[in-house]
Amino acid sequence: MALIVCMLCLSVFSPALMLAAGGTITGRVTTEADEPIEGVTVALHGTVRGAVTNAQGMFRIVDVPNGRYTLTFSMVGFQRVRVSGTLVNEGEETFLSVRMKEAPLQTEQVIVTASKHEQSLAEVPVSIAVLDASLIHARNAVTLDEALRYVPGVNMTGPQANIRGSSGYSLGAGSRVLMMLDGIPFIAGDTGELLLEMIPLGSIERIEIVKGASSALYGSNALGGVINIITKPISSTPETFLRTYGGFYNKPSHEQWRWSDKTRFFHGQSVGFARRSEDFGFAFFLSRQLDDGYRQNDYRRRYNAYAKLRQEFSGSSALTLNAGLLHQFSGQFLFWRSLDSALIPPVKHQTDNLASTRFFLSGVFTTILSDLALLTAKTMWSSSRWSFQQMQDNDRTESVVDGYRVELSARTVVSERHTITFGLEANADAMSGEMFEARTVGGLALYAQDEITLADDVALTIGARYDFQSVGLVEKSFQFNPKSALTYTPVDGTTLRASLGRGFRVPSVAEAFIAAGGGFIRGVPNTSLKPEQSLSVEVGVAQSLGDAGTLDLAAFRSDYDNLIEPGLMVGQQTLEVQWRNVTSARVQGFESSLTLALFDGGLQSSLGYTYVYPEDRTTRAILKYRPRHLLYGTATARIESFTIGTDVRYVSRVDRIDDELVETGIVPDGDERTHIIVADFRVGATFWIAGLDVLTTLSVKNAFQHNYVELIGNMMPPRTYIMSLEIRL
Amino acid sequence: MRFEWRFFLVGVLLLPSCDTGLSPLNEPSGFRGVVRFRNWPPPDSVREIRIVAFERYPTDSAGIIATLLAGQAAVYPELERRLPRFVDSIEYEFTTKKGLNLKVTNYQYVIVAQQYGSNVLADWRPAGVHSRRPNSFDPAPVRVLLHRIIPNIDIDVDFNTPPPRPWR
Repeated sequence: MALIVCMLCLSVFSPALMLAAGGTITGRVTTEADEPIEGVTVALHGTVRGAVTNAQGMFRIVDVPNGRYTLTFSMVGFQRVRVSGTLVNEGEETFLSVRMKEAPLQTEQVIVTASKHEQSLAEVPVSIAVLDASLIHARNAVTLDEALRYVPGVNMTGPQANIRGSSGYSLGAGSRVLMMLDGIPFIAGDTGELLLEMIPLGSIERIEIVKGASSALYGSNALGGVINIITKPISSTPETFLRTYGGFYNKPSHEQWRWSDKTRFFHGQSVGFARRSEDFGFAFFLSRQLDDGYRQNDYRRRYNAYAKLRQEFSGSSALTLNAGLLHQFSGQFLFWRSLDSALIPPVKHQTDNLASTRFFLSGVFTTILSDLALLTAKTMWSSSRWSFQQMQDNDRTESVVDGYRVELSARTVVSERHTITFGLEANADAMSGEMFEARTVGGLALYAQDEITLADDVALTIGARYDFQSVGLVEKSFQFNPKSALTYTPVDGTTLRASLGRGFRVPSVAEAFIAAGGGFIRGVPNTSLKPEQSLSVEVGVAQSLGDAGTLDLAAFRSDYDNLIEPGLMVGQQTLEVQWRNVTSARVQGFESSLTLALFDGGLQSSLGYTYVYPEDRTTRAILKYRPRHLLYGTATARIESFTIGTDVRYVSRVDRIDDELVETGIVPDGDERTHIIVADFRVGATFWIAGLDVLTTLSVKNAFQHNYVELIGNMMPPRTYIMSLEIRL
Repeated sequence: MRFEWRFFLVGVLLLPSCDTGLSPLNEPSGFRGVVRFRNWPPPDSVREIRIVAFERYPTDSAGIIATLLAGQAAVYPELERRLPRFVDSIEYEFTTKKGLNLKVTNYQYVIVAQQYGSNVLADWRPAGVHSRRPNSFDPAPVRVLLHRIIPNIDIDVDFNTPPPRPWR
């Protein structure tokens, strides 16, 4: 292993010593109407170099060695352009003028999560969904979990994400989906939860969702998939925006459920500002969200601040800093009193509340060592303090965590056929407080991946990651996770893919050491827990339907061993919970996604269906909290500056839940659940008033007021009306 | 015949309106039984009787009313109704609909309470307690289960030998 690492290091650093003072490629990218296009990704084939166009459509790639090159230009909403035979001579500047044709369908999405570098969505060997910020805003999504609810293959159980049946509901401890922020793992160091509330929606450029085990690149937690939140780049055009939204919840369907005479409102405001000079840019973002809640003791006050700074050095290096702060105070609605009183909590929990303050600071430094090698260093410090208070028992439990992450990675083009990515990653979390007591956990990992071009139409990716993680369990965790993936493009527009990979998840501190109470639950530590492991295989095909759309089909299977599930035991008035390695499981199924653009892009629609059969291999029972059918549909019609759209979601009734919670009377009527049928409608308009760009959207969510639960004893919102207004200067 | 996409689309979109999902069950929870009386005292020392269920065995510093106000006890029947006096026995059904403040939870101490004086806030004492053993004052807990009426929660009341009073 050490020899391989040394060789890889030599391959990266030796070209760096050969300082090649080459030529420069510059250019301008425009539409067919000669309008400049900002944000076009320009890739220089056979090298690690590239650029992104500015507001004037200009780009510049420096230090390019002599030779002939092929460049590709990719941008969502435009057909990809490939320019071959571009000649570069030392000391000279080569200028390209590129015109891109608008595509009615968003096929040329550039993504970064599949292989830790930019790739066209059509080229990746795994299933990936991309949720664009424009769709998040068009849907008037207020929270990130709401935004994720229409991604094919993704099912939310409360705030917990479940990709293709990988996860059920783990009482808020641990996640089989890894959340990342700009490629840096971003999960709570104590509970292992996704920190969805930390990221203000206005700061997001897009969300990439990798479906299937990704531990070979990303380590623990990624055994079910990855959700990578990509923040907005700083535009070269000065930006200032103000967004406000407000809405209210409809009255409950049944008079018996009415618990308040007042209309329950929610609203929020956000403001953003971005400026960029030639080399330096910054952006900041402030937001607040206030929600009365449609249920008793379900209010929320949330305040976010977010800032981004970017400094470029000599065109080949750049440093990006991100910082975020969240303060939140909310009531805690753990579960209903009964189905007859579905919108009020049990008397004992009527005043429970949660206060949290979280902060993070991250830095990403990239430098092009040579035209064949790119070095990236990433680091993050996060700090979190949260407390849960049960007023009736005057019981307050607190957790304080400081987390540190460092990653050093390199990508090098070692030959015409091989591009190698490798890196080193370290993490540590130090915590204190009654909830998990004082402890420090951490780990170290090495990974490497080779992308091999076997032929013009065949690409193979092989890689592996070696992890050491210590969370203070009896057995320390050493994990080796290999993967391989193949893509084959027999004809233009058809890509076949197959992948095989291992995944793992180290138990979170919450699962192993929870000792204090969390409302109705008292934890029982278990230091004998072992990591979960998975082996995932997928085959799929992506078929272009020309200008009309794309069709993607995939079949998948994952085998899980040592699955960790909460074991529930009844105590006096409370429930005791201990997480244990209980079973092995097999989750298999298929998924189809159809995206259509009709009437010259005037009508865009998508339909995604996922079938999952999640079976406990020991008991032959269906795994808990996994719906077997997911059907999501979206349609948006554009008529000049107006849009009208609908989003429809069907989730089949989950077969199994935690029966202990129901049989013991802890969650009265907890077994009352149904399939989910939700339809949202929206209309939007864009105006240009007094030099201001104004976008307004009116949405009716859950328009037919379907009463359903995702999590037992937790009724989801009734029909909700929301209007937003965004002004851009 | 030409396929009408518009009608198909409208039909698909309106399909969810036919299904409203979950709705209240409206089934009561509680317990029922018989109260048997012996040795009724004069009317001025048994002004009222009620069945009271305490979540915890009450301390000597908290009376019935204080515990009721704290939400940790439930009383039967509702305030506007009264139980008959000077009878040999009564059958009762104490439910989340018929009682006052009964919850789906565990009650450790279920009694028949007697108002023996004129002070409605203070002059209360236990006259009988639900116990698993005959002629015993050891309280038996009653777990109220959702949408179930637990039978045989009987209470024997002998006004000559009342159970110990846990409050002043």
